[in-house]
Amino acid sequence: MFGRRSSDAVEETERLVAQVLRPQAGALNISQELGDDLFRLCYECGLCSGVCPTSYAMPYTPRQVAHMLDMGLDEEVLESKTHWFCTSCYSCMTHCPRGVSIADIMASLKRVELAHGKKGDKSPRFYRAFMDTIRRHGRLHEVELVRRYIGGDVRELQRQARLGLTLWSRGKVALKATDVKDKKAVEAMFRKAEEMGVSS
Amino acid sequence: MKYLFYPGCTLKTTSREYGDSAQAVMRELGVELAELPDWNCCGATVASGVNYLLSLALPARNLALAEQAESDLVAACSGCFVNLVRAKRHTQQSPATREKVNTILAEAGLQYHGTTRVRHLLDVVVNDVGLEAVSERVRRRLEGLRVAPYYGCQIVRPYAEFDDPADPVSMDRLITALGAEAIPYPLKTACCGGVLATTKRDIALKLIGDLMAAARDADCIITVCPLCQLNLDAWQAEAGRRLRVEFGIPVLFFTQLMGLAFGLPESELGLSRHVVSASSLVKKLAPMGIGATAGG
Repeated sequence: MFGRRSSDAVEETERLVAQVLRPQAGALNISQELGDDLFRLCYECGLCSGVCPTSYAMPYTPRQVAHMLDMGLDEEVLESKTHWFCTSCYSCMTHCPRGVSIADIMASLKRVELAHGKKGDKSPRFYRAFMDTIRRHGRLHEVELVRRYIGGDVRELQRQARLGLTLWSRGKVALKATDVKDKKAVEAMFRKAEEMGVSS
Repeated sequence: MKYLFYPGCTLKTTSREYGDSAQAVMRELGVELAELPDWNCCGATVASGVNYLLSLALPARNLALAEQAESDLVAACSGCFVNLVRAKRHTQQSPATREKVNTILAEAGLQYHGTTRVRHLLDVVVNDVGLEAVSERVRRRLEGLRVAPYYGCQIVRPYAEFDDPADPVSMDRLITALGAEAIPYPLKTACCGGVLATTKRDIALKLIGDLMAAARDADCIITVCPLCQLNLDAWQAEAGRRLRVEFGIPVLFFTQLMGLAFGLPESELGLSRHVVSASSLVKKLAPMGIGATAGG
């Protein structure tokens, strides 16, 4: 820089700064899926990570997720499967001083992963099982949910069986589903929503 | 007083004691909870992670049905409550979203115009019926009973509809009105793990262990949400084993505690349906009529 005119240095600096701060759209275009790019407002105070009950176990903390999305690292975030650690407790959303809704970001990451149609582990399996069950009955039928969720997973069957038996002994397990009357309406709503896409 | 009531799926199955006890105590208070005809599942915490518009349209169908009846809609489950409020708010805030949701609802022959008011049962008890009317109904004051009020997440977050999101007090005040002692419970709005009790159990067990340890001095915990109740009740033993503690703390719905104070028969309150038995709790109570402020 020595010996160059100061305006050159200013120009050079501006060019470098512009490069660093230029918002990049990640490969998955999460902001489009979310319907906003409020995560760009994040100034990384980390309150979300502090109040999140499961951030201690997450591959990336909520603060890191917001930052990575801002950097266009959508795919890295998605592959980390951090979103399946979110319980929808909404603590992050209540505490964020910038109005960023991390919980909604986590939900949109779940949608992207499920829409990509990969089979996935227990969490995506549970989400699919739940939606398939309420699509069929209009209401939750817990026995069917558990049956769909377990599939052929014997270990999971053993784990669920104990709880199932306990609840059974307390008269809490309904073997028969109590469906909505207007099942056609529920099915038509599901179909229409699928046609309109999964995003905001 | 009469309300349209949205029981949600669990009040008919794994948390039927919540539905039964809610009906029983509200009847005592002269409030009719009329079930919303042909209600459907609200999508729980799952639908928003699968399809955004559907996660609004499912609760919106119930809102539209209540709107046709020109009535407020009361939910007892915090998950149902937050989804109904969310659908109302999202469709109010964005005309584009409202239009899309109504396109889906049209498939069910319905439209939602945004007028239905959504209430949580706890809100109705504390703010409509009022704690004065509640204490007038008490036939057995719960003197000496130490109760931890556990609100969980979704009754106050992200929408603080009727209480403070960081330090809600509705249930604390209700406990006092029943003659019991509301113990300070710093984790009153902490998360029970929700669906992670099924999909990532180790994490849920840690959260449940924390919640139980903080309530160790309590005779019982009371909750407002079926999933909170199930997680704390069904998994506290396993969470305790990891911490080498035997908790054995009954986890009741707030309506069951009200029913005990009202002197309602235990069969109406479904007290035998819990995993952790509530019988030790019932034994601690004063006999009927003793310490009563009214009725007797």
